Amino acid sequence: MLTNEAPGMCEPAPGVGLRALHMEELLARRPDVSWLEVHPENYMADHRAFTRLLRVREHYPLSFHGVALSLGSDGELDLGHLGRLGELIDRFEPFSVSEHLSWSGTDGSHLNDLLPLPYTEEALEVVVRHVDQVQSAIRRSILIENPSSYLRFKHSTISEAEFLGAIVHRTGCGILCDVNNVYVSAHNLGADPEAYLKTLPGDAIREFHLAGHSRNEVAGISVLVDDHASCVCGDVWDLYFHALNTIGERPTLIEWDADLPPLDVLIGEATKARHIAQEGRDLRRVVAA
Amino acid sequence: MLSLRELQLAFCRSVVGPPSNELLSLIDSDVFSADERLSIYRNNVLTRLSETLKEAFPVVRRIVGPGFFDYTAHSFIEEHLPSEPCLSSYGKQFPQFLKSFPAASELSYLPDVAQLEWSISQVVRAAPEDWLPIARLGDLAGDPATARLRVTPCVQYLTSGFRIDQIWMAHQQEGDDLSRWHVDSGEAYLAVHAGESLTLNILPKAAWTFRSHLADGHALGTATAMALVVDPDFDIPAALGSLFAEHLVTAIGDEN
Repeated sequence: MLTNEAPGMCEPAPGVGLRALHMEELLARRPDVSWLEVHPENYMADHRAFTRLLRVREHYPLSFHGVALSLGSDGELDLGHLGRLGELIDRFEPFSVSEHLSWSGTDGSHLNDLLPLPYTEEALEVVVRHVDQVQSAIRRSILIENPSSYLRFKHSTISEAEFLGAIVHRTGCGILCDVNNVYVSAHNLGADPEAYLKTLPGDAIREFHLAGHSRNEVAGISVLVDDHASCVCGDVWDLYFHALNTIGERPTLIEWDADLPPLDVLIGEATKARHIAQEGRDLRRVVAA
Repeated sequence: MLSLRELQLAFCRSVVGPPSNELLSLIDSDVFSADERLSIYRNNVLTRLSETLKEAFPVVRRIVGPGFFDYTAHSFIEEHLPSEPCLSSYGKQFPQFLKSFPAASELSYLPDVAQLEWSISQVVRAAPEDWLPIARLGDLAGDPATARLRVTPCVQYLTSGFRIDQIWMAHQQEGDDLSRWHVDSGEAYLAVHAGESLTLNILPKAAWTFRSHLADGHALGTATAMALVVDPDFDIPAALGSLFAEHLVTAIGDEN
């Protein structure tokens, strides 16, 4: 098995999200991709997928991007799920483990979506307690990803970016900055995406995500839905470029979860991210000179 | 003001039922109303859960068509939200739901086809276990009738009043039509086995009874007795021999 080293932080090469459809092709071709990200939930109850992932792990560094811990749910974490996650981490040694600033269910009902939190002191206490619990259980720090938002609660007392900063301050976790989510939320909530990035504690950002979204019309007004079913759009590439130049380079991942394209399309998106990072480097060099 | 817990409970209820006014009063409205904003989440949740069912029951979907399947899936989701964080077990109750779903009552074989699809999804994901040779039966200290044979989780046994194996085979491709296939009428005593490849085998009723009782955790004596009820001439040594020869037994234990 390869070591679990993160892609270099100076000139980190992009990775791609690995889905079952691409696994055999990836193993057969072993394309030049720096790292792969998986949802650990897909390997908890499927032995066939688990054994294939072991083969993948022999050739690629992995990151784990969880979608089911439900860090923002009031009440207790599902300890059975946390235990299974810990076992997978021990087995696959991912270089990064991340989850979302969201909740998915409560009282035994799970909606299996990344649902919005009010950014209140009460919610902060819940998330901080759960992040502490997870980090203690898996004996490492995790990254928390900013969600795509379609609504805002009136009784929030601070902004989402400030809320993330408070979690980082109190738990020592890092941030996974999903640039597409920043763009989608800003559009849907009428906010400024660059101001959002500026408010996040940049030093705590340890990874970027990029993905596609869809544009839908509701009563003649557009809503962006974070469906991970298309290429990264031009505006999100621009925002990524801005993030590289204001925050710095970080390991960057191309996500694609629905209507999966051929593997080469995903790799092409990762190559584009690599080129944009190079453009950013060139620009900064010129500016510095 | 709702507590976080109350807000989350109201949110869950509002996704599968009418929106809670208390919840709506907490959501910022501007160019969109609070309900329009909430409905984006409602739609995302329903789409994701419907997709999960669609992936688990492709043959049921081909039989009833995409539109009716979506309607059925939404009806199911309203009654059965996932009870676990992962979706791997979501849909387990779908075959039972179909049995009591009035809109599908004309397709009386549909719940059994759904059960077959669920069994297939389970056996192909199951972790194989090392098999034991028949000689290990000799290690039993006690009465063999009280022994329990663990059957590999890569096999499941199910029965139907219809040849669901043939119906399943006839719908493996989009656009398959039952009229192109010969579907026998009558009962099916079926073994669904994921080995090197997936196999659906029709067993004699007595052999099915014997094996399914063992797989359900009954003692060897009980499984044998039940098979003999079905067929007084059931050949027990031969049945045991073939069970081991097919590498289906992965553990042997005494009753206690």
